[in-house]
Amino acid sequence: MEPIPRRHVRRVPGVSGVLAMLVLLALSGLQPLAAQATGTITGKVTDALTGRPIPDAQVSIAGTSRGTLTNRTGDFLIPGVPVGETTVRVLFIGFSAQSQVVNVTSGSPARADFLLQAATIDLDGLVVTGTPGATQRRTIGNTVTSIAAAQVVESAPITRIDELLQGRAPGVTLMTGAGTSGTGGNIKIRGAGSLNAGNRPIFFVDGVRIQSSMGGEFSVSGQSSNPLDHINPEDIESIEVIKGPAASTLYGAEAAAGVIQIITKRGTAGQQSLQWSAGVERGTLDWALPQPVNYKVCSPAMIGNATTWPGCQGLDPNASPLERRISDSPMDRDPGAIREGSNESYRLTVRGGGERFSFFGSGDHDFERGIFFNNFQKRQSGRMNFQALPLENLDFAVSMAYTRADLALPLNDNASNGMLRNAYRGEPGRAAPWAPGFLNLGPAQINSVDNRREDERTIIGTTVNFQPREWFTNRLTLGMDKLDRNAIVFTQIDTTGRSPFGVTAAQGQVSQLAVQNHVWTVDYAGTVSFPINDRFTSAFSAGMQFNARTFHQIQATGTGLVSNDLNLISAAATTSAGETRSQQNSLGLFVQQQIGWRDRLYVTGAVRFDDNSAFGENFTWAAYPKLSASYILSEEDFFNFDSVDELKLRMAWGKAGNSPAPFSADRTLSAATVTLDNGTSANAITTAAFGNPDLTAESGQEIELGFDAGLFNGRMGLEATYYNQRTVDALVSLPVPPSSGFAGSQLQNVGEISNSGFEFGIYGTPIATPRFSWEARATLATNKNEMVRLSREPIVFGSFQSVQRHQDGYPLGGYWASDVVRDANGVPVLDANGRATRSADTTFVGPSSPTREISLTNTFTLPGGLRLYVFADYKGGHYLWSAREWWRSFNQDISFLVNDFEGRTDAERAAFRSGAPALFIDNADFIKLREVSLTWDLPEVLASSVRARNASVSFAGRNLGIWTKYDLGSDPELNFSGDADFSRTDYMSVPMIRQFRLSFNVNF
Amino acid sequence: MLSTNRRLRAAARGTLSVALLGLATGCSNLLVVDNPAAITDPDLNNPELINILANSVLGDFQRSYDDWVYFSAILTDEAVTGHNFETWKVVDQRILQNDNGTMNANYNSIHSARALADTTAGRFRNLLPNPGQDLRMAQVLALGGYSYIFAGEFLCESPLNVSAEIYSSDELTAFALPRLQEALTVAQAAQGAGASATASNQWINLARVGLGRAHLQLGNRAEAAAAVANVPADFVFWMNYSLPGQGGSGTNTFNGATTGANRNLGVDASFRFLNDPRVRHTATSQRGHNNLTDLWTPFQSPAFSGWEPGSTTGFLQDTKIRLASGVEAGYILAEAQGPTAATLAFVNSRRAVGGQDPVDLTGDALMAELRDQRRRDLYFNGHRLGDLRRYKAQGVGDLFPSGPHPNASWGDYQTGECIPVPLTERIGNPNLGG
Repeated sequence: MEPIPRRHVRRVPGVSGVLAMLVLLALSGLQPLAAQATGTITGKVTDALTGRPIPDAQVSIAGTSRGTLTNRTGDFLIPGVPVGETTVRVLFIGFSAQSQVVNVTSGSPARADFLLQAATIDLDGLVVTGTPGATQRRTIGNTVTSIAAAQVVESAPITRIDELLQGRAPGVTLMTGAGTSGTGGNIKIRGAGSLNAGNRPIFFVDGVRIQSSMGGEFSVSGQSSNPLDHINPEDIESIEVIKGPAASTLYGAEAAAGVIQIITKRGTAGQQSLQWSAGVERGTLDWALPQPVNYKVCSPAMIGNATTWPGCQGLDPNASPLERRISDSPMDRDPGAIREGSNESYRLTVRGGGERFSFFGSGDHDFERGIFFNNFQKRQSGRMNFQALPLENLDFAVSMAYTRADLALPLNDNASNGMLRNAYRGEPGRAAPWAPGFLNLGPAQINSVDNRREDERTIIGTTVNFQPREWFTNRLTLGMDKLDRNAIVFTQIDTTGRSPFGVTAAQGQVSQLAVQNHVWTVDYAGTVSFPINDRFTSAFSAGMQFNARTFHQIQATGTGLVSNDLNLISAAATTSAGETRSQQNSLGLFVQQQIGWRDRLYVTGAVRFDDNSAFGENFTWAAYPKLSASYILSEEDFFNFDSVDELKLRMAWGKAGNSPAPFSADRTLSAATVTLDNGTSANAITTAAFGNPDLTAESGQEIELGFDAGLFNGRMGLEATYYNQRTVDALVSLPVPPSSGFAGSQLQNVGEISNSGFEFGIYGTPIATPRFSWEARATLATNKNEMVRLSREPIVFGSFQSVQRHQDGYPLGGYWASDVVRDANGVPVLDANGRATRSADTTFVGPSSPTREISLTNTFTLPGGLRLYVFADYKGGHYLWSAREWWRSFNQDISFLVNDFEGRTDAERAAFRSGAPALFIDNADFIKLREVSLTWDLPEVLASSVRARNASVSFAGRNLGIWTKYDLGSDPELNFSGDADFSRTDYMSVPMIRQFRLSFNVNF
Repeated sequence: MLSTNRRLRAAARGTLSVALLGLATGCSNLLVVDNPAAITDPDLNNPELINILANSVLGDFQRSYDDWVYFSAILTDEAVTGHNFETWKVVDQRILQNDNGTMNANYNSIHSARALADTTAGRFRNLLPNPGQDLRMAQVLALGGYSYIFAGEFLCESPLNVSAEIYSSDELTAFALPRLQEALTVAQAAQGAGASATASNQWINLARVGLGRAHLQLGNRAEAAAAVANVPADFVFWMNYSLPGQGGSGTNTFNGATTGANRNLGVDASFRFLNDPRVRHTATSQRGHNNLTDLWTPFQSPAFSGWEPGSTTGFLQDTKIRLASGVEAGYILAEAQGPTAATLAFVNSRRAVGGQDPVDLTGDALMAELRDQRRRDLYFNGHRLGDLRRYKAQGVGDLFPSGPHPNASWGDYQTGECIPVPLTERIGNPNLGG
């Protein structure tokens, strides 16, 4: 074969060559700073609706990083502005941005006053979308919900991110699993789109991917810790919720469940002064909801057995059951069971900036003592955000947050040695082994459980923005979330001689987990944007994201301690150790083209390609396309409706993925050991995972239609969205046929799931006067969730009874149950022994997740510097399985349901006693009064007396009321597997805990 | 200038796209991750792993064996459960539905032990220099054979290796025979080739008792008698367990089931107060995990390594459990031979162990007494389920617990007596057709 002449060979640039070209292109655009004459700009920013000054508004010089924040009276001053015409821009969340051109001279200050209009839909507001820099809302075809976290935290009693998310973004469902301090709930966006790849959105802090859930702790048999608690809400400026595949395409194969971007506070360059804020808070926690009462009807045999049933003695064996009924509520009665909890919090923040830099720093100390004696949560955190503008077209930001968190959790939920289980299942009258009225262990033993986590977390990230040409912007983000944990469970040497926690633990036992959970982010994106002609603009973006996650855990246990003070593992008589590792890497690439027409119609098309180490060896890249359009109809000349200020129509279609867990694709065997005849241990292996080499990510596909409207001169905003989402290739956990020799399950991409619904947001200021205003915000969301195709027989699951199913044509995890046999009138049929019989027919009862949610936030600004904030939310359309009352009725006869001789017939009580599950699944609709706060802004004369810019005192309450149709417990939001996606059971979980807080905040 | 900008913009777009394409093709190594917790199947074809593979078969069997013994006790009349979990409660009630994960764990572990033994035996045929006379081969074959014995005794029916065909209990038991026979042959050949007599005899006698057990279950009385004829009376083969933290095959499940707040094992009424050192329990009852069932907590029986005729000992975490013994061989021989004088002598020798006077019985009465002695000698030894199924199948009668359950609120015992093909197998086995 003839060699190809060299001149005909075209060399394709390799990675290094391409990068070199990029660097050259970039370097050619470096623009050094130049010295010149400067002047000063002053002005005032006022709310056009109420006439009140707007403090903390961001005022900046357009095209630069110079700027400042307004003070309490809305005034600002920006020194060092180059002389000549310059544009001053004002931004404040909830108001339309405004700009003014002023002429700066080196003599007297230039003046620029602003009357900001409330921007209920904020078309010019900036959001994070995955492309470089922030994107104007007007250009994007999907909805992005922004939570003005800084404002919410200022008004509401918020100490955790969960509390910030709850009820504030339509479509985001956050179900609190329990009231135990330090535990997390379940978060879903637009319903459950996955059976097995998780439904939790992915979280970013300033563009750096973080872990929002993690293992690596000793179980307390129900709830688990919440890593999001490591982030101080006081550090957050805003949270943006990117809801479904149509919006999250650019985030790729792990974003089908949505994306939550946390944007932390920043300083303002050019501010030239420091702003200090300090706050102190004290509060209480208490169990305000009623506790169940245990009942027992003392039978003649019990009355005759004083040893076993001392509490039945003295009753007349011939009396009626009602007269022989005794009751007890041991946790209410025993002062050693629970306590009034407390919390304290100290905060300090500082903001500032110089000519070409700005910074924000904060530190906080929060300590919450839960209502259980062995439940506390402590967080000490610090953050430093630094931004610099070394060149006119180059800026960078570095942020670093460090948190040290200690958390002790009590046993509850499904724990045999938990307080609630032992209290709610105690039998009145019976001789109790440890404490009167308790089933087994009493408060003294239960409260001695010492189960702690000591976390150290560092989230560090840097973002560089470089604009070598006016039309070419680049962003590079590098970051790491490093979460290290030491988890400990310690059982003291038993001194009772009765081994309350078993004979092994009675010798004294300490176990520790050393856990490293690290996530690395590399994220580059570039955009080339330019006007095509007078009418059309183009923005082409391309980017890549690389994420690496590692989890490494070493476990060690020591059993047999010399004394409780000598509790190192190495000091124990016998020791053991174990180790777990997992790793998952993902790489994604995208290109996006946006075409704009007359600054009012934008059409965007994009495609993202993803590969992931969890994909099977037979699968490589997954592709996720998107297409969206946004049209600002109100800016057309023909649009002429006085009451409609702004109207944007939007539409988006897109796909995103949901990756399987690490190593899911691999067929493996794992290490084991064997005991030989001489008692020694030897190496062995055993079957581990069946794997699936064809495994890939689920593909979520969504179409979203909606509009945003600003009405009545900024008094009202309306957002409406319809979404229809379908997950194809859903990962279904199909059981490995055990006859293969392997057990467990195998993921296959065979399922199909749909979610659809409406989301509405209504924001407005019904009353606005300088002395009194009422701002209201209401959201409503619906969700219809359906297992379209499972490709297998229904998956039946449930706690204590198999009452939940994934089944074609029904909501995922819906409740299915059988009733008792009834006659034509619906009355339970009893047999000769007076027993009701469970029906063999199992029917669908209802969904286990809410299908409709409403939230309502009201802020009243009152005369005298008073502000009243009220937040309530409603969740409904779902049901809850009360395994607690089922157990107490069916197995123990101690529930009121089977001992209510006055309110229920014999047949009704017999029906409950039969344990027919349908009788223990109830409508779980509820309204909760989540937050109420009253804030008093101290008069300026008082604040200035301590040289403060302003100061406020706030009294707030959380979880103040509940109204519910649920009759089987006090709180229908509970789940004994707190963060589980589908398993929902009310068993022995702590209901919502009422909190009151008094805080004092001062700004210097 | 405009055209220069246009060219630069085009270059920037092209460069961005090509750079990303280059990344896609050049950075595949970024997605390579390590899983140090697992190895893949091809890696096992390594001669250096022979001992580990042999240990693996033993380990899989040992880890499951205590659970099988426990399950047999709960399902039959050996024990009642005080377990809090509904899935154990229904097993005790003989309600055996194919979605019961607790029960199905035994189906899974039987198949795991069976399949690992079979694949390892297949691997050994290539890896071992002399597979026909290597005790490690005998070990793998013998334990594989016993796995099939438990499959036959516990499972109503089952596919094998994801087969479309479903095999009956007897067919499953029959699969044990060639494996045990080969184990016997290999162990004898190994002994002939110079292997330790003590070690060889352990596998030889285990294979013999296994053959006898399987043949008896299948009704092959002559073959059963022949198989066990040469088993020494003092032969015992133990399954080993370890203290926590010492690795090995884990702790003996009977320890956890009889101690602490979660204790859940009680001697059934039909075995209580027999005044027999082979079946002993606490004098009074105590409630356990479910706070409902009255539990007379058992002490070790002769099937456990800490049993002493003259004292009561609780189950320890590292107490061994007997898999096969000369005593069992005696019962196999007696049952296979029928009501003979030898059987009577054997029965009276066992009654003496139980502190009972000799009897002079014949015919059915003698065989009934043989069965009574067998249930005492093999109490908590994993035999009762197979025995009751055999008695029923071979016309002796239905001796499963029936009538009202001791916990009155649970109603009557139902009729389950073996593990049906689990829902997981029905769903996951593509050859079963759902």
